Amino acid sequence: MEVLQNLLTGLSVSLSLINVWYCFLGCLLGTLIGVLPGLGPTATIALLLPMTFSLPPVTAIIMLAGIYYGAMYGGSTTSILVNIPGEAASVVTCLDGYQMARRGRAGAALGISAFGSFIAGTIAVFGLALVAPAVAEFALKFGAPEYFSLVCLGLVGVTFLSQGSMLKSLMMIVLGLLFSTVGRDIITGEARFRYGFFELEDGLGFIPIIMGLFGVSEILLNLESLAAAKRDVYSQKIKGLLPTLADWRRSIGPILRGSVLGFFMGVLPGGGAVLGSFGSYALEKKVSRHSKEFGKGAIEGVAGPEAANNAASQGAFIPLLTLGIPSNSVMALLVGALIVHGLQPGPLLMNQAPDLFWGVITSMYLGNALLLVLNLPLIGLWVRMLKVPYPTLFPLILMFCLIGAYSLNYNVFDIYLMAVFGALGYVLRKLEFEPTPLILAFVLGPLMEDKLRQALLIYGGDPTVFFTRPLSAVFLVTALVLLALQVLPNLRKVKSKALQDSEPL
Amino acid sequence: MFRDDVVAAVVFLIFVVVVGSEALTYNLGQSIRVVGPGFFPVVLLAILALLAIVLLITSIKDWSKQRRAAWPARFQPLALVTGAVVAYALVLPWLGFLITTFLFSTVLFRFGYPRKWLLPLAGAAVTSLAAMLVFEVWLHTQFPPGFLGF
Repeated sequence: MEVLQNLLTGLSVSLSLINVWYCFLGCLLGTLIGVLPGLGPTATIALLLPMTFSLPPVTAIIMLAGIYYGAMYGGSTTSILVNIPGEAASVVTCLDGYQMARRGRAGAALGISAFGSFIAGTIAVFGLALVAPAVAEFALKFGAPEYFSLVCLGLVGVTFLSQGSMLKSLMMIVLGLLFSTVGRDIITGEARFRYGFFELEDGLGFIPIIMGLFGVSEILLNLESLAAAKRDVYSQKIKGLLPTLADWRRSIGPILRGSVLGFFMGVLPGGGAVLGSFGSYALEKKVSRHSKEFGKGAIEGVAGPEAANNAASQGAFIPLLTLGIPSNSVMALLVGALIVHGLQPGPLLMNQAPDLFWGVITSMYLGNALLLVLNLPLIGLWVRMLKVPYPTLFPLILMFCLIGAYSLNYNVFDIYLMAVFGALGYVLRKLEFEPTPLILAFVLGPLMEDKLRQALLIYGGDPTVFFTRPLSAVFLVTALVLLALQVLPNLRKVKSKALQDSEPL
Repeated sequence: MFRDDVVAAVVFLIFVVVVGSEALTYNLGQSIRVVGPGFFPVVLLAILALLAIVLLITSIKDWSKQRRAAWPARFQPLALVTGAVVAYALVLPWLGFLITTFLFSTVLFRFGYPRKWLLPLAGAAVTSLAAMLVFEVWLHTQFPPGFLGF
């Protein structure tokens, strides 16, 4: 009953005219930017973040959530029509979605992807409303040691699920944590690593860093392969967006299984949506009666992973809103956005800002419904967007990055910072150092340092407290097990085999 | 693994030394109970040094198996983009948002369409005007006015 009550509270917030409008605008802009080549959801949100600065916090977060779902849909659209996944989670959609498109069934693939995501969204919203309060209440019992250990687990989880080398991911985490120490120390007020720049007293700006690492470096990488970037955009007229009865019969099982699997995978730290969509694809391939069709245009291979993908992106809100721990780079961005709007995500958020908490949760449902209405009739527009040549596109993207970096503090220093991080991101990505662990660590750094120092202070400087308190011990031991799993050679092989398919096509 | 990993590991070690020399000037704390502002960075730098050494050793050990990263033959895009961004930041306070954005977009559009002038100029004019309408007029972002007042 309480769940329904909470959802009704949320609906009363998210269904207000202004919030519906901004959710709609977010979905529209998210899809619009998300379908553009070479822009994943993280870059899309980073680019559009400045548009929310002048909005009230609830509306801003609802709009950002709308942008997120829009960008995810955009990713699926490019996977099906151009065989280019917008982000890692839609890699599997390429496998069968693009094959369906080549056989003239692009409409059905896009349609089932939209309906599948909508059904998954419905299930995930109820899942969220049921699970989130319990997690938040549980988290209220956490002391400083538990928080510290949980952050450690979250960060190690990211290295476990990232595709590259664990060593490099760990180095990125430490680098991200180090970047987070720039600026005034929270306890003594002493300015650290200022190197003569008074602008660094408040620390490195999150927005310029993310614009640089995800926006500028992406442009640099794309410009390099400009000659090779001529893509084969689906050019036939897309028709038959409504899946047939036979399509539905084959898809409903995968959608339901994908929703449940994806939701739980989304809660896990580090690329939950990737794990959800890959897991769902593997599962459907195993249980389907048409398993031979997989890879050649099986509708189950689109329906399941797309549902899982969407459910996971909603599940990822649980650790963000209840623990304040982002599980992927998009959630890290939302933490940044919440802080910009003066809200600290964590177990107290639900009590301190119930309108925001439940408003955001129900807006997910609203977002899914809007996307269903929006996406299907506008497919023609998305296809046209896909054809915009990159030389026309990149100056616009760069300009958005510049304005975004500048408009947070109205300071040109942030533009320089963005340029530095753009070049750094480019070099790091060339050397196969992923920027995602760095960003997560940068966001979680202040919390981690604060809780470490608090724990040492409260427990008389006893470092064993992290292992003697049961819950903290569980988190740390799990983190150590995850680390060990990657170091042991046999298990490393299993991991690389499992992630092999996830290399971009 | 890349051969460039050796270079990366060395760069990380140099970074540790440079940043570490600054970090060690901060107070590490009176005891493990009350740690100072230098404690967390120093611990992190020690871990980073350790990880960089592991990377160095493993990449030297597997030297023959490694390939080089696919660096571009020319660094023109890198120089153009970072150069344009830095130039934007430099002239924005003097020329104001509209003119700076126009010049910036012209240069970048021209890079994509090297043999044409009309297209980059028209594109830049539309882009800078649209950006001003959206950000300055609609979203009330405050940009420096520049010496011409806009």
